[in-house]
Amino acid sequence: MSRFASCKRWAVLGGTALALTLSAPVWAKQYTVAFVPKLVGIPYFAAMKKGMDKAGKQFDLKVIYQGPSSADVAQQVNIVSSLINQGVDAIGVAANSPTAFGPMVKKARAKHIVFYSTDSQVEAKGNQLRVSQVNDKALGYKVIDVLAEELKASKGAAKGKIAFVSGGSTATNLNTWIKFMKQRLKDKYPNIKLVDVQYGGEDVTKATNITNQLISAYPDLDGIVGINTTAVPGAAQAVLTSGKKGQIVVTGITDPNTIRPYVMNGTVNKVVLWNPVDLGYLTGWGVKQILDGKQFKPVNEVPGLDHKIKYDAKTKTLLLGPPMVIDKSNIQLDF
Amino acid sequence: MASTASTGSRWPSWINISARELLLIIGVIVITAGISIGSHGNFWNDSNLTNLMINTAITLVPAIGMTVIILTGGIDVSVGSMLGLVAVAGGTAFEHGVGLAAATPVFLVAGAILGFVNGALITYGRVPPVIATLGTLSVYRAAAFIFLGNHWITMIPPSVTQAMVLTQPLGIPIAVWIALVLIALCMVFLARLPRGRHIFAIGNNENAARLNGIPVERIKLAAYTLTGVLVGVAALMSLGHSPMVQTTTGTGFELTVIAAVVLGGTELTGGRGSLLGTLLGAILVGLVQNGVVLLHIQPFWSGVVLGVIILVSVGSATVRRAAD
Repeated sequence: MSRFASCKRWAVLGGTALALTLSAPVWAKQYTVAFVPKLVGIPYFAAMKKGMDKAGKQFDLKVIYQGPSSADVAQQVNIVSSLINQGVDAIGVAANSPTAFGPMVKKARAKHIVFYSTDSQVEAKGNQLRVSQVNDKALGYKVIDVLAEELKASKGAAKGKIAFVSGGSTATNLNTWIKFMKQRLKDKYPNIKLVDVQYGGEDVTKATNITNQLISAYPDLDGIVGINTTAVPGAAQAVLTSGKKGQIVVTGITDPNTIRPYVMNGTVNKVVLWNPVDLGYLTGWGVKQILDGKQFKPVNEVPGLDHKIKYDAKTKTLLLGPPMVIDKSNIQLDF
Repeated sequence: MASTASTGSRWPSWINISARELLLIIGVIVITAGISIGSHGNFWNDSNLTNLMINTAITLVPAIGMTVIILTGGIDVSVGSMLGLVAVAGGTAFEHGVGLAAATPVFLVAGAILGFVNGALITYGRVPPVIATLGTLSVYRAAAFIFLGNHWITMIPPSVTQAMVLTQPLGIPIAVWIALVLIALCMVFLARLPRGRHIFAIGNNENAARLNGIPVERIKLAAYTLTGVLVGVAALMSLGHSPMVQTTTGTGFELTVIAAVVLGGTELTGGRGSLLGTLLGAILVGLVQNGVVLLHIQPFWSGVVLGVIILVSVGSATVRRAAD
């Protein structure tokens, strides 16, 4: 053995130690925040990720984005569990089930990892932050108000027969919105009659077929409300190909990228949503506050968002804001 | 060989109606009447008939290839993922501003490549068809996920819908004409040309066919590739019908296609079956899927009804054979 060998070994070790010491403060400062969406491969959560990345840049967070390939609770729990084992600073989900994450919340908190939920909430005691896109009631009401407005514009009065096309028949958020929509119809628009509610899953072809059949089953249908992202373009396509454009009002909850062709060709005038990029950004900001040990105020100024954000201390919920109407004027928004 | 006895000489020989097909025709008539009455005649609305025809055509076109594959004793369970991946390829072409005429070859070639891979795995790779296509079912779907990422293709030009669905010579959409021409050609091919008869021979006894000098591997490879091309055609039709590509586009479609073929009387053991049966099977599947909303029931019931029809019809055929 050369007599330099041990010197070399020490030099390498020393160098590594020095490098680690120097980088340690940088590591300590940057938090790693994991976000597990309901599923990957859909534009909605990609938009949320965009917002979180923006917050990551602004507030020096390392964002990990990982999720199941279908909206599956078991897969999602597995991913959360393995991320907790990897030792992140904060972990959050857009939950596929409000109740399935109890053990995960416990596990995270035991390891001093911040647990949060966003978009679709987790009902568990240790959940430290909920970030809610919009008040469900406000959204449901807004969609029906837009529908009534459109019916008035095309038929002269807020009346007629309408149908709902939804996604999964067990999806909690969709069913909550439907509940509030029905309530609004009953309270404010007694002359608009809901004749049918059908479910097409997260599949635009199924939504197209179902709407086509609805149009045939109710030849005097005046309006269709799509409850999820795929239902609205599916309904619009069916209305377009059956030559009912202008006769049947189509509106609902969907994003600009998905509905753009139909807004451009006039089959759809208005849809309702919130801004998922802002939702992701707000989530990133909120998590950073908790990691820094700061408290939320009832009304918060968030750098980078143009309106103030309400916080409900009782439910630990940050609320993004009122629903947003998308029409020709802002259809170029990219999410 | 074709299991059927001709019911008369008035028909050209490539149309060969068996008792089973007569039963299917009766089934179609009964279900049509049922939906028609149950929907107070709304079934006959123009837009509903168009929708029914388009959906049937989208199922029928790959079902033609599937019939040929099943006749050789094989199966392809990957067509759903294939449709998805082909739609991703074609949709991407559309996104880059390619027009309908120039994009059509993209659909056909992409389909041919994917079908060829299936065929090569089965013939030269000696992987059993179910296993090979189960593998590609999952690989093709994953490829669609990887390629598309978090994006859906929504910018499909309106000319696709215009060409496939809204242009209707004699009241029948172009997509349906394409399906009808394809099935007529393939019926003539199966019944009249030696190669067509070879397909039945392979399904009946592959070794005997090989000993007789029939190029078994080449024919099988061609059958899977043909199915790929037909899936490409169906993908284009399907974008005309609902112009958006999701990562999940086509999921579960393989079951609809196989259901149409099996319902049509083609036997999974190979060697027995007919394209006329497949046509009727596809219509029956289309009717059942079409009827549910018209009858004001929830769509998942169509799955139940379809399942029961398949069990009863295939089960009764097996029982009948056992009794003979």
